[in-house]
Amino acid sequence: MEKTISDVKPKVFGVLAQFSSPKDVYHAAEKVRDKGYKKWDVHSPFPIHGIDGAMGLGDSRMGWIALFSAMAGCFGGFGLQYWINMFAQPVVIGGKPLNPYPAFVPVSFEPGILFTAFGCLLGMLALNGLPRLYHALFKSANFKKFSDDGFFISIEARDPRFNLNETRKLLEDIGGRNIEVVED
Amino acid sequence: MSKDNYRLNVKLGGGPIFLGAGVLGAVLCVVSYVQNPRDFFASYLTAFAFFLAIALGSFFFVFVQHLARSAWSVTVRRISETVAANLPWMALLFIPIVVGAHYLLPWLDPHMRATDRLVQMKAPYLNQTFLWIRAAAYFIIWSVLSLYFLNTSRKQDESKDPALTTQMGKVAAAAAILFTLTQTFWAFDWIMSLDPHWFSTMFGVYYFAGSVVAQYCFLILISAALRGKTGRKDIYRTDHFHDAGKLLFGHNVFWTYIGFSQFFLIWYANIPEETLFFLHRSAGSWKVVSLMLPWCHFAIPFLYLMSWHVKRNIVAICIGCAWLLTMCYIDIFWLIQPNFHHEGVHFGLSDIGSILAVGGFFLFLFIRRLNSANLIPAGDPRLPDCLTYDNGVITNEQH
Repeated sequence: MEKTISDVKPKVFGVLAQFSSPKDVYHAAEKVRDKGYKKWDVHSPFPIHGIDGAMGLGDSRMGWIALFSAMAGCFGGFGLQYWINMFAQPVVIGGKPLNPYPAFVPVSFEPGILFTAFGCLLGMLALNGLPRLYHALFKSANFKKFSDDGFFISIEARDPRFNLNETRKLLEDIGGRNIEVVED
Repeated sequence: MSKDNYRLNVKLGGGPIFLGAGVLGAVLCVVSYVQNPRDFFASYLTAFAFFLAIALGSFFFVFVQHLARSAWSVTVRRISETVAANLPWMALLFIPIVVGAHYLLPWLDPHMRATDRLVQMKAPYLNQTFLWIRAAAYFIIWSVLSLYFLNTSRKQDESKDPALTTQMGKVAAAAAILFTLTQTFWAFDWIMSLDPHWFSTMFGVYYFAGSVVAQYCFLILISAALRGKTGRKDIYRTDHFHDAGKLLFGHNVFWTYIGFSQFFLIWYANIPEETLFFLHRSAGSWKVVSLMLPWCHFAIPFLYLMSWHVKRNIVAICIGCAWLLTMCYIDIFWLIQPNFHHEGVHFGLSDIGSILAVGGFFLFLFIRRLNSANLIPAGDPRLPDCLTYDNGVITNEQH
């Protein structure tokens, strides 16, 4: 028998629960963190001060991405000028030596800044898994409130600690409302 | 929390030691003066300009906090207010320089004034009467304003009157303008005109940038000492060290930017009367000092202070500050001394004596005044914000 699309059993993406205030979602996040979940997220219309600590997020890797982009830009910019002046087209300008390195500083600095900006933007997108056109949570009609007045916690099924009934119970216990199982 | 919780009665020690160092330094100064007055005055001006930089930087910090209506800095602002209030004492320590001005400023020499075309052309500014009027104006302005900020803030400790904060904010605006002019022209008069042929329009900013770096180093070191002495991690918070460290990092980059811009334009244009400054500083062992500045004043501290782990670790940030403070002295040494020792670096008894004398008295007077009243501005309306201040870094530290 040929398989049709309606025969494919939907996979569970995770469990979504709503909270009524930033304070509630903050304290609920602390409890989810303490249970040892890793693949989960908090959704809020605005940044909540200290939520990263309550979620147990570590130091962001953005700093390292920025540092290495800056170094790539800086050394790349210097190397480009050095190669041009020393090998590709050696021209004496203003009686300066062929390698007038003080003159290379501004042009080394600028790609350093430019590459850092690119590194930060692209690194941020990569770390956030962006851009993407679809997310399973969009299936929940209630979830639309996350950009208005809703505060949510979603725990994903790919988390090793995920168990549909237990996770659901946990979200109930910590004060979640409108709990729903979201399918992928 | 009771307000009286923050009436700290702890005293910072070390006063007698610094007084002793000052007296010892004064003796060494007299000895070196007898040996060679010119060397002595050059060394004394170096040490004086270094400690003046710390005091002026602190003064800058105080009025900028008022201008920005900043809450984060309230507890540590008292330290800077007290350092800035050393400025009237700096006027007293300036007397040896007044006495030795003829050894220091070559353009005061009547022969040079009679024969040197460039000095003659600069005479409307570089003349003795105007020089002393300016010097008096600098020290009067600095003394009045720095004492105003300290005394008003102390008065507020008792009265808790928020109107004083508003008033200080207004005075800070005037102080910003007066400070910029006075410290720029002080640097022109007493450092740049040591070589009357040379000029750089950004020289005042260069001295200013170095002075702010020196002040942040000093502020962090004293805050760390007070944090250890009082044990009050809630007052001298880790976030304070972190943010002062960020500002130190930023201002050190600013110093580099100004220093490089000054060098770069002169190097590229290659006009003899401008390049002489760098020619003196690339002769003999001066070249080593000139190369130390970009590497040890900028590159090493830049990488060292970059991570927040360093800025939040009190011992680590103090090591960085001690290093940079030393570099600030070397920077001023590099500005002043090549005018007197063209052949190479000369660091001797007169330099050690001057550092001990100016530094000893400076620190003694600072500690004595800091201990004479409340250690933090207990009446500042922004104090509660400062005490709960959190710059949002996630850590597992215990405050």
